[in-house]
Amino acid sequence: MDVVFIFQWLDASALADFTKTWAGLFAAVQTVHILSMVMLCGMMMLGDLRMMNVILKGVPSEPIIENTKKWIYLALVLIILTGIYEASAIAMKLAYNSFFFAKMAGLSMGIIFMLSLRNAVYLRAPEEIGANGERSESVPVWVVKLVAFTSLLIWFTVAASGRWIGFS
Amino acid sequence: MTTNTLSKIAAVFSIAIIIGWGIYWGVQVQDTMCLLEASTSEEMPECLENM
Repeated sequence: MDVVFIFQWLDASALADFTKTWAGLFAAVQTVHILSMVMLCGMMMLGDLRMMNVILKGVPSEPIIENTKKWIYLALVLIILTGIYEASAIAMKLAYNSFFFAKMAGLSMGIIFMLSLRNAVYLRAPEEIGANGERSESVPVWVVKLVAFTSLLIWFTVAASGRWIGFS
Repeated sequence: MTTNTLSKIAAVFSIAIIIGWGIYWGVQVQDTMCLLEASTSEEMPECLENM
């Protein structure tokens, strides 16, 4: 499917004119974009590494997962808003950049994976990996660790793809 | 959804993502490395023929 028309529309938008005029603001927005990405990956790593029993072994996993959620959502909103702002300045360059599409695919997959499988599996984590109290039914430890590893892989590639956009 | 079903779905999707996404992303990196090499060397690198 040809999606170049979306980039052409973005390139001709008032937002693109504004972004290209105010170059200094672009640098500030880019900083917020990178910081949001750091916050998102940091919160993800905190939860995923806890579920892999690598860090904070003495702390129950539930408060960690619950408390990192709101920061993950905030980071996602900031990433998307600042990302649109940044994309408007270089829309036609991004239209032919394979890593931009890899990043978008990874971001979409990461969000869907987090909202569906990651959250559901972590809610049913067994006592062995720090869930509060015994459960009548829980997901096997290896599945929880596999989901945590997959989540880490997805978000690593999203962050790395963002960096690779500049090289491709 | 029962916990058993969730476990199976999570395991299958995770393995599929690790393999599928890993291959896709690996190819993207390989292609970009090749283009970078092509842009900096005077001779055409062999990898360009396979792209």
